[in-house]
Amino acid sequence: MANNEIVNNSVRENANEPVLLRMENIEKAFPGVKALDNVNLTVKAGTVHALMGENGAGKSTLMKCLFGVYAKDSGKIYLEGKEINFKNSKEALENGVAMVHQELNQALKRNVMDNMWLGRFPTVAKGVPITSEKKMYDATKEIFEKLEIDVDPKTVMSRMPVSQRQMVEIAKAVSYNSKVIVFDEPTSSLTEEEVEHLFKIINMLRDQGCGIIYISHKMAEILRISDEVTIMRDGKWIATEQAKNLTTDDIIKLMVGRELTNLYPPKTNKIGDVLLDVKDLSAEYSKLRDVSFSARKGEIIGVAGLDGSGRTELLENLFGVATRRSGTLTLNGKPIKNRNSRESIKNGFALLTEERRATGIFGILNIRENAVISSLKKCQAGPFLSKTKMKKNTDWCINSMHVKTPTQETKIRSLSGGNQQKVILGRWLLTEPTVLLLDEPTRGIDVGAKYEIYELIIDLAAKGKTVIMVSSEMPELLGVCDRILVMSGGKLAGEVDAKNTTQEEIMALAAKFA
Amino acid sequence: MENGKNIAENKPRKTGGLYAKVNMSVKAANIMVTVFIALLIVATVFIVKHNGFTVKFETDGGSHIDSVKVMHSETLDIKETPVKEGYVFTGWYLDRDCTVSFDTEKDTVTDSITLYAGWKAVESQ
Amino acid sequence: MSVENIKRKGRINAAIDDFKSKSGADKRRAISDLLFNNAMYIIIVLAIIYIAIQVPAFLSVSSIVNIISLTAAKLPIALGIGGAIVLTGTDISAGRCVGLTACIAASLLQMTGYANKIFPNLAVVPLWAVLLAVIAVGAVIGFVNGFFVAKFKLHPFIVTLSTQLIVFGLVLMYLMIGGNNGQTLSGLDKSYTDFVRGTLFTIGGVAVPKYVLYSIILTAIMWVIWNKTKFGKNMFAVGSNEEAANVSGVNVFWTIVLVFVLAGAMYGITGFIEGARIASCSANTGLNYESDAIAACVIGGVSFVGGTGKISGIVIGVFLLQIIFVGLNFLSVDPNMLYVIKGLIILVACSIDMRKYLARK
Repeated sequence: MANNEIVNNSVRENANEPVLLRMENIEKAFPGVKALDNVNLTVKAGTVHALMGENGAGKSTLMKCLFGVYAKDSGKIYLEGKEINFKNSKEALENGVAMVHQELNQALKRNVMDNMWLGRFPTVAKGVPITSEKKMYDATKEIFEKLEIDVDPKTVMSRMPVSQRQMVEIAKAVSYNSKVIVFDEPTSSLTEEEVEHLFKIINMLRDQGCGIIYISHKMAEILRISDEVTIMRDGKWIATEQAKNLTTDDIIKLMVGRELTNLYPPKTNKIGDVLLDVKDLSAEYSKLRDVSFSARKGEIIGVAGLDGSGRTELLENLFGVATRRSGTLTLNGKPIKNRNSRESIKNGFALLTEERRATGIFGILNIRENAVISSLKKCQAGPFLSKTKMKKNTDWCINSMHVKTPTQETKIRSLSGGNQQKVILGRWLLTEPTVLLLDEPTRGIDVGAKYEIYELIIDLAAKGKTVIMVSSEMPELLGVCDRILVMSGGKLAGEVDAKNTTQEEIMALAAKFA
Repeated sequence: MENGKNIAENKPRKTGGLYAKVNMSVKAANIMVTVFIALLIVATVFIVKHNGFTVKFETDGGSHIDSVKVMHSETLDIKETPVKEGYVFTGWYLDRDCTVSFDTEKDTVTDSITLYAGWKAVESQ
Repeated sequence: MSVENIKRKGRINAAIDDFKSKSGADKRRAISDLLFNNAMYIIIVLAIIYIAIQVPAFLSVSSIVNIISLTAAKLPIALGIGGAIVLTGTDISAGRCVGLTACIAASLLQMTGYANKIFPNLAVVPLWAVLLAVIAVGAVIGFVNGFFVAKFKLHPFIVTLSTQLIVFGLVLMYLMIGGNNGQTLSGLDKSYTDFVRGTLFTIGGVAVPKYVLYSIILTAIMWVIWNKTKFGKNMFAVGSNEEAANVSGVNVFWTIVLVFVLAGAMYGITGFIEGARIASCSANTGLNYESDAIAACVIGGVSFVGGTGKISGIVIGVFLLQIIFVGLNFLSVDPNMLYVIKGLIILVACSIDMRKYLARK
């Protein structure tokens, strides 16, 4: 109730600014889940409205209802006072509602202007079905000049870095003369400089009277760029407040629904002797070049860097699933090769992959099958698999990882992301690894479950294992790791002590070779 | 709980076409390509070594004539002519209807073919 | 034009500079990439050199005109299939479709008074009507393919496999009509054979057939469609990223359907030309034509990765394949044995194509 009053106040405060977009009492249910429950969102002209919430809070679902990707069950959407009900994103675009997607939805084999004008290619003349390259080129150039984007409209998309592709996507949204533009996590692949450029563009659009919906997890960004903040949790609308009245702690409290005194568990691991020594590691087919570092027993090493800086490639090279050009690995003083994943597992390595659904879980198999797949040798009785041993191992896995599941036979698909991740972590622990390579271990997991994963990681390190962990969430690295390696452009840009560093220092290093 | 949302929000991305789900190192691909190229070359060399066009003869009830192997641009050099009771052999033809004739001394062979014998009924006396 | 050339030169120079700036190991990799990605061309060029040395007649005017004519005959079907491959699909009903349309064209255009006429009482049908009819038949088959692919998201391989069989059944049934009893259709009307096979002009005493011109016209039309129309650009976008195209408001359904309809129309035209070119149509006409066309497209750089490909690439692909086939013919390779080589060529071409677009690991 208290929250409601705040909203009413703020609405009254800004009564003079025209409301551009109003979503009222939106509801949407998927089989078994109420994804949106009575959600409200009001975006005013000439403001940046931040939409926040944990993964699965319903932000994307709400936006998909706006764009007609999903049909809402009930509720009303008004654009400039008129009720609208878009059937698809084309209709939304034509009515001035555009979205800059998080996962860039682009035809990478085509050039910039083909992507810009996709779905509405200008023709040479009315009624003639021949498209006009010149018109496309000129119009693209004009928009790029306005937005100060330095890209040749004839470049093929796949030849450009992710940040430039992002800029093209933004330019595309602008080119529709959109009144409302939704930015979905736009900064995850941008350097600091590029983020400044993006903010400049956003401010420009705002000053022109656009309403901006800005979805992001980065608190500092939100507080800097936005005028109003709406927070969602578990598919429900929680609060809408003026950004200037909020602090990071307020937002987290509203997002999580309880006071999170500690985002990160206390560190109990003790750092021992050098376990793994990596010298001049270079990849044959990716741009990873000359990475050297050493890892100690019981140490948690973070790997930071922008998307495409070679973080994942580093782990893949250590684990032997990517072709190595040069470099030596020394484990416990002995040289090792890690030529393929089987050899690496034998040497005590384990890799938790980035895209859980694509490369981690066997969705249609049950938890037991998923848990023991990498350690079937342990479950053998003679030449056959022993069900009792499998059950025992899975039990250990479920208990020590705190997996919340009714039975071992439950299909892993039906677990939440956090629990899936725990099962996979358990799978690797059954192989008794000494070096754990974790690639984005908390992606797509809600804050509560994240804490449990952090606990597990620190616990493993305390047991003397070495953890090397890639993450794009900088606070997470600062909170969990002992040391952070910063990758940039495939090279190691620097190594910082997690206790005495700042996000700014890491960002500066990450941009070094980018 | 998250399940319903996960399924709905994780539509497969349709990029990468036929190779979207291929998980293979470039090294392995190099080996694959090399093996296929080697296969192609070995097969081609073998086939070229055992070359030659086969010319078959259909005599439509006449005496049997064995098929022969001929090289490109060579003429057919057959002495034998088929015989059939009550008919006179009129020559070889490229089609069953006997409209396109094939001169075994002048026409060269450029493909595997079947030749059909042409017959003329003997006038009964 | 000159501006384009300067730009191209600049790009080549930039590539050379880029290569020079690389370290030893990177240089080695760049060279191995270059060799692997162009392995097919290297093999073909070496084969051509070998054949030309073994059989000098291979490079005679008549041989070259023969290669060009064969290229022209096989080009339209490859242009059709190319679109399906750009959509990351394929079309294996193409060959049978050509067979059906060739038989229809031949049956409607048999000489009056020919003894084994399939429709004995049929008067002379105008050429244009027959051409339109076979294009329509091809387009209908293409529509069926496209509809199932676009609407039910069935893989084109499955859909076209079934239409291939259905069309083959139709050909067999069609050839049983009247008193024909499954016989080969021949005895074509002179206007038809003249229209297709008639002499366009002669070089060194060797006649170039008219269908070479038709093929050039079709290629030009397809080039405009692929590069200069909304439909063509949408096709590439859908092939590159269907989701992106959909989000941007492209009608994905009709784009896919139209690609297959266009392909079907191309098979119809191929059938029309093929009917007169080989002059005796049977149920076997068009058998395995799609495999040559798919191989040609992949060799020419139309990738199964989707969204890439050029008309010029398809022309080069068809041309190179025909050179090889004619060359092997000069080496007296039995056509039955040629199938083995064709199969392996597809395998090599597709594996190289896949290697090119692998995630770099």
